[in-house]
Parts: sequence; structure tokens; C-alpha cells
Amino acid sequence: MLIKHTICSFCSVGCGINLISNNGKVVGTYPYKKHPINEGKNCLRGRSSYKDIQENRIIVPHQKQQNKLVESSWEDAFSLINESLKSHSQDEIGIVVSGELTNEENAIIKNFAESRGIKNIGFYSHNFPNFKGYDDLSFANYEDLKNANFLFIIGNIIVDNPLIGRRVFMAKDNGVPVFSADYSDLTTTSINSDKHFKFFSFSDFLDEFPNEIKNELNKDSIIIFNILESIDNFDKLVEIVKKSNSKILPVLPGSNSFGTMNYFLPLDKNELKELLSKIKVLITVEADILTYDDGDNINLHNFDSFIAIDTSLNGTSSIADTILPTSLWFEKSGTFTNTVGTNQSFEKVIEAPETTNSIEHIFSEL
Amino acid sequence: MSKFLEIRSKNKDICTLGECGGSITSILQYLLETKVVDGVLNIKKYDDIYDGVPVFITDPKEILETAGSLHCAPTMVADLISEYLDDKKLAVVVKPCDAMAINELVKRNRFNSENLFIIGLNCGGTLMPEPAQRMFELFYDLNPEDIIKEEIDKGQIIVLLKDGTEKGVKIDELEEKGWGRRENCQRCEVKIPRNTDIVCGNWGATEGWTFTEVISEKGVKLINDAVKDGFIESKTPSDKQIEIRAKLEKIMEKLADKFQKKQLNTEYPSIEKWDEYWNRCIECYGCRDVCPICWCNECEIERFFENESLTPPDPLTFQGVRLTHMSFSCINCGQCEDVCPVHIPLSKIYYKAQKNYRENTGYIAGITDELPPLYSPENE
Ligand SMILES: Cc1cc2nc3c(=O)[nH]c(=O)nc-3n(C[C@H](O)[C@H](O)[C@H](O)COP(=O)(O)OP(=O)(O)OC[C@H]3O[C@@H](n4cnc5c(N)ncnc54)[C@H](O)[C@@H]3O)c2cc1C
Ligand code: SF4
Ligand code: SF4
Ligand code: SF4
Ligand code: SF4
Repeated sequence: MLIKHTICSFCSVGCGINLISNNGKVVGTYPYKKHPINEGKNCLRGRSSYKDIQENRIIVPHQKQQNKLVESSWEDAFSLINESLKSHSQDEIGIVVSGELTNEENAIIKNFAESRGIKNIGFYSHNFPNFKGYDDLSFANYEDLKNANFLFIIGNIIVDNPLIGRRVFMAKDNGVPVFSADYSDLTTTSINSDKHFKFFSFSDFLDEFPNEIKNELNKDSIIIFNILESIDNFDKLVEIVKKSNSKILPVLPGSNSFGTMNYFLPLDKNELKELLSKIKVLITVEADILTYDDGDNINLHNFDSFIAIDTSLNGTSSIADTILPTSLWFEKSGTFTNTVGTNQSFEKVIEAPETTNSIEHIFSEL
Repeated sequence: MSKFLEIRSKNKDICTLGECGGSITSILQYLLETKVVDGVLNIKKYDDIYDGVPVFITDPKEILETAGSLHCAPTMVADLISEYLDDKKLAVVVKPCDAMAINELVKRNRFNSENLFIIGLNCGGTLMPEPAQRMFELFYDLNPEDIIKEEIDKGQIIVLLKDGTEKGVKIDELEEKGWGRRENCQRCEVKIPRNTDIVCGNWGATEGWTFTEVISEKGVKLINDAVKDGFIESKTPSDKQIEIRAKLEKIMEKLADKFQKKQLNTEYPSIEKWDEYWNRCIECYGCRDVCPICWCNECEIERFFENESLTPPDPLTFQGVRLTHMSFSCINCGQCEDVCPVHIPLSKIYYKAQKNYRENTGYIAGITDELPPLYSPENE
């Protein structure tokens, strides 16, 4: 039995968590009380993600033959992929990564793409834009929550990102008023707010932003949100924020969405679809594209070649022509940048299965 | 053998590395080197003195890395034994709360204590690592990183700096302002865990030695063998020393009693306040999962929440299950409260319930040898 520190890979808050391994397998969690962000407290999803990501694990390369996935050797897989990369122009090749890769892996993939002249590359950011374009905005950090004089929350932050929710309660305990807004009337966030606003359309809500909230906003207030219907929403929100000089705390979806923005273009759904429509060879890196779908049809069947670099057999990887199995988060070392821009490094907890390869190795062979 | 002994390591390095003569470290080394045990479960610094984490050690050379007391490490090891180490011959170093949790688990046949050497520590309390560092900045005017050691002595929390200087602040003063030891530690009344094989501490000890109370037959043999094999030396403390230790124990028990009255009665949250707390609950089961006593095989709690919905849960139902299933066995370790993401002072309810149960039945969780008659294993 061995207990090791790591950083939770489930959401962008960046909590510390201890993983327990036994006989080379991760089998449980233990509170990491010294971690400054969460002091040993983790939510259920954070505590169970080590189990969830091991489901449908894939540890040997697979190739599609007569519409069926069969095991293959790394050599065969690489030579087939390389053939198809060679027979397509750089503009016909596209790469979709996810907000859950480490900064180091992102750097490797970016390098690869640049050296091949591949420009069709990005990740789905759930409509969050690149913050780099908003230099004049004031982004709040976790400490600021303590010193705020008013919090306005959009989305069910207390349930979705509980370790930011914790800081909302700490502020509340200091007498800070908290307002919230969401699609639903009855959420854990709403019942813990002094005032709650229900909306049907986020966009309309921002267009007719209630004076009651506007009047409370000032330079020491913070708007926390984890949902956006479109990048457009963000711009509307920015206007409200700028008028009141308040700060924002956008809570991104992936454990390294923030860091990934330093390497790749964040795409909304339309931009992602456009990228996919332009290319003939698709490489996904731990990007389960079909879960982004929400019913809009994303078609992944019409590529000359579809290569999924992934850890598990999911909706997306299972329709790929080739699957290259890679390491799980706790089988590698690296850094994540959390939603307030803090870089946190973590060490490997256990070794990856020998039949898998690291992102670094895979891209060095392509 | 006398019931009370002073012991210390015979190894110079361990003597200096250890908290009070390194007696525990040398006893553990003896157990590993002579292969009396398969391994040792104790606490080790991970990154620094605020970062104590349980380790399972099988190599006697590695045991030196675990020497010293970490007061900012509110760990719990009982459930680690039942989950991962129940098939091993094991020595474990425990605070009173760990020892009481072990006692409860052994009573529930989670593991067999015959395979276990339980080495107890007197415990004045632990601090949460993050608040402790803020406290050293605020009240000691120190950079927490410059502190290489902390101890609780003579009513003070004393720190030792890299440059050799010391600084202490009265615990009373810190705790009055909401800092200091965890709340459950303030009210913790078991300061010397006697449900162990031996108990070690500095109370009453000569400088550089550990005062040890030998409890069980196993403990007697352990000390004898470790002395015989040259790992530790021992001497008999004076009556005066024994008296000092007993007195300190009494003082601490009284203090705990004072805190209990305050936390569980006069300043116990009102019903309205509890309603407010339950509204916060995000149903993460963190409190249940970390509780060393909560070990029902088929937890009923999950059944209440099978269908996820947007409506907030009813945490009262959930906590109600825990109250009826385990509160009589609550050992006040505070783990549930430590891990609750939304800061609900959970251990107050459970410990208050155990104290009520104790008044009615005489059953002291973690101490009384038999499980209470009402306890029915079918519910487990
Ligand atoms: C949190 C804490 C509070 C204490 N309070 C008192 C007190 O009020 N009065 C008193 O007389 N003695 C107290 N002690 C005991 C005392 O500090 C010495 O540990 C004891 O005298 C043994 O000294 P040693 O040199 O033989 O131990 P060492 O050889 O230094 O070995 C110490 C052992 O304690 C283990 N340990 C360290 N930190 C923890 C922890 N947080 N939880 C569990 N195990 C741990 C280590 O892994 C190691 O095995 C306390 C110890 C701790 C850890
Ligand atoms: S809040 Fe996010 S980072 Fe923290 S434990 Fe939960 S999922 Fe993990
Ligand atoms: S609960 Fe008691 S035994 Fe446990 S750490 Fe606190 S004071 Fe020590
Ligand atoms: S209810 Fe809380 S304080 Fe009581 S034994 Fe369980 S974790 Fe410890
Ligand atoms: S740890 Fe706190 S939030 Fe989680 S279930 Fe328990 S009481 Fe609720």
C-alpha cells in the first residue's frame, strides 16, 4: 500500500488528492489535507474519478478490419497511420485534443503539428473563449473570494465545482451577500443564495440583466460562472463586468482547459464542426467528441482515416480506424493549469501498462 | 517488568531524529529487522512538516524517515488496515483516535488484532495544516517554511526555526481566537490510549527519553525483546515522574471537558443553524467514506439517492441513516468534518449522540470491550 499526492483531473478547480495504490493498481483515495486549494476536501466525482477512468480501459492498439476492431501491434498501427498521413496534404489533416492533457503533452502535440504544417487543430472548450484576448478584464483568484463584498453565481457551482462552492460558503459565513442565476429554480446553489434568478435563455437574461444585480456590482464583487451557451454570452458578460469594474471567475470544464488555451485554439461547437468538415484524416487525443454533441449531429464516419489516441473505449474511440492506447492521468507526470491560472505539477502514481505508450512516444513515431 | 518505563533508542542517529529519544522508531526497526512483523504502518513527512501521510514500510532502513511527531497531520489509519493490510503481521503507531477506531473495527471483526502490535502515542491534539501555517504567519510573525519542527508543550504551541531559535504562543490564546487545534481535538478526552500494547509520550519523561506505559502481555514481551536485542534501553521512572504524567493527563481531561460543554451544549448550533447547514450538503458521501466506523457492507444511504435529480437532496435522511447506524460508536476523530467540502460541523452531532448513548448505556465508543447489546450485525 502506497499513498501519493496528485492533482484531481476531474474539473478545473485544481484540488489536491492522495491516491492509494496497492500491488501496482490505484484502489482508493486519501485526503490531501495540506493542499492549499481544498485542504483534504474533495467532491464525489473527484474521489471516484480514479475508478471511472479505468472503466473500458484499452491497453493494446486496435485497428478496424471489416468494420470490427481487432488487436494490432504498435508497428502495424504506426505504419498504417504513417501511410495515410503521407498520402494526405497538411490541410487535409486535423487534430482535436482535449482540455485534460498535461501542458507538457500539449507542447509535444503543438510541436508535431507545427513541424508538419498542420493548422486544423484545436479543442472543444464548451464555448469559453481564449482569455488571452481579454487582457483588460480583471480575473479573480480564490483568495479574492474571501475579500469580496458581493458574489453573483451563474450555474450550479456548489454542486458542479464544490471546492469553489466551499469558498462561497466561507464568504457567506463572513456576511457576503450571494445572488445566483440558472436554468433551474431549485438547485443547491439557489437555495443557498440570498436571491435567485431563473432564466430560460442565458442570452436573453444577459440582454435584460436585472437592475437588482447590476446595482450590487462594484470593483470588489465577483461573478462566478461555469456555463456559456455561446462565445457571444461571454462578450455580453464582459460588458456587464466592465461597466461595474467587477471581477470574473470563469470555471472551465477540463482539469487543464486553462493551460490548453496557451497551446491551442478553443473551439465552440460550430467551429469544431467546421474543422471536422475540412479534413480527411482526423487524429483525436483523449477527445471524446461525441459527448460534445448534445443531439446536434457530429459525423465521424466520413474520414479517410480516423486515429483515436485514447485511454478507453468510448463512443468516439470505438468508431476510429485505429486506436492507440495511452497512459491514464495517474500513470504520468506533468502539470495542469487550473481555472485561476495556477500551474500545479503532479507525479506518476503507478506505472502505465507496458503495452501502452505515452503521448510523447506516440507523436515521435508519427 | 514495571508498568511504567522510560526508554530511548540505543542508536545515536535515531536518538536525535526521534521526537523523544526515538524509542518508537527503534522498536519498529527491531520488529522489522527481526521479521516479527511483515510491515509497519505509521506517518511520514511527504513534502514538509505540515504534510504527514500514512506509509506502509517493510524495509527497516526506511523506518528512520518516519521518526518525529507531526502535529499538523490529522491522519486516520484504522480503515487502511482493514482495507489493505488485514492479511499482514503489522505494527501500527496510533493516536488515541486511531486506537479507538481500531478497537471498533476489531469488535466488528474487520480484522484480527492478534496480528497487530499497537503502539500508542499520548495526544494533546492535531492542527489542520493550512490553518496552522496561516496561524504561524499571523500570531508568530513567521514564514511557515522557516519552521522545521513544532511541538505542544506546557500549554504552548512551540516552533523551532531553521536558525535554532524557538517561539511559543499559548494554546488558550490561539484557540480563543478560533485557531490552534482542531475543534474535535480540543474536546477529545482520551489523551493516553490504553487500548494498545504500549503507550509512549513525553509527559513525565526525562529530556531525551520517552515515558512508556506497558499495557499488554504483548507489550511486555516487545519491550523485553527490543532491549535484549540492543535496539532500546530502559530505566524506571521515579514516583514523581509518574505523578507528573498523571497530573498532566487530568489537566488535559478537564480542559477537554470544558470544551465539550462549550461545543456540545452552550454553543451547540441551533436547530435553525443545522437547517442552514443541511441545505449546503452536496451529498458527496465524503463524511461517510472517510469515517473509520461507517463500514456497513451494503450501505443504505445510496439507496435513498438512486435517482439523480436537480432538486436538492434531503441530507437529513442520509445523516439519519448514519445517526442510527453508527453514531453510538463515534470516536470523535473529526475526519468527517475535516473532509466536508461545505464546512458542516458534522462530528459535533455524532459525538454528541455517542455521549448521550454513553450516559444511557455506559458504552464508551472505542474503549468498551464488547459491542453494545442493541448493535445488530444484520444491519451491517
Ligand atoms: C500529534 C501528536 C501529539 C502528541 N501529543 C503528546 C502529548 O500531548 N503528550 C505526550 O506526552 N506525548 C505526545 N505525543 C507523543 C510524543 O510527541 C512522542 O511521539 C512520543 O514521546 C514518542 O517519542 P519517540 O521519540 O519515541 O518517537 P519517534 O521515534 O520519533 O516516533 C514517532 C512516531 O510517531 C509517528 N507519528 C508522527 N506523527 C504522527 C501523527 N500525526 N499521527 C500518528 N502517528 C504519528 C511517526 O510515524 C513515528 O512512528 C504526541 C505525538 C503526536 C504525533
Ligand atoms: S471540485 Fe473539481 S478538482 Fe476538486 S475534487 Fe471536485 S472534481 Fe476534483
Ligand atoms: S481526536 Fe484526540 S486523539 Fe485524535 S488527534 Fe485529536 S486529540 Fe489526538
Ligand atoms: S462520525 Fe465523524 S467523528 Fe465520529 S467516528 Fe465517524 S468520522 Fe470520526
Ligand atoms: S461531507 Fe458534507 S457535503 Fe458531503 S455528504 Fe457529508 S455532509 Fe454532505
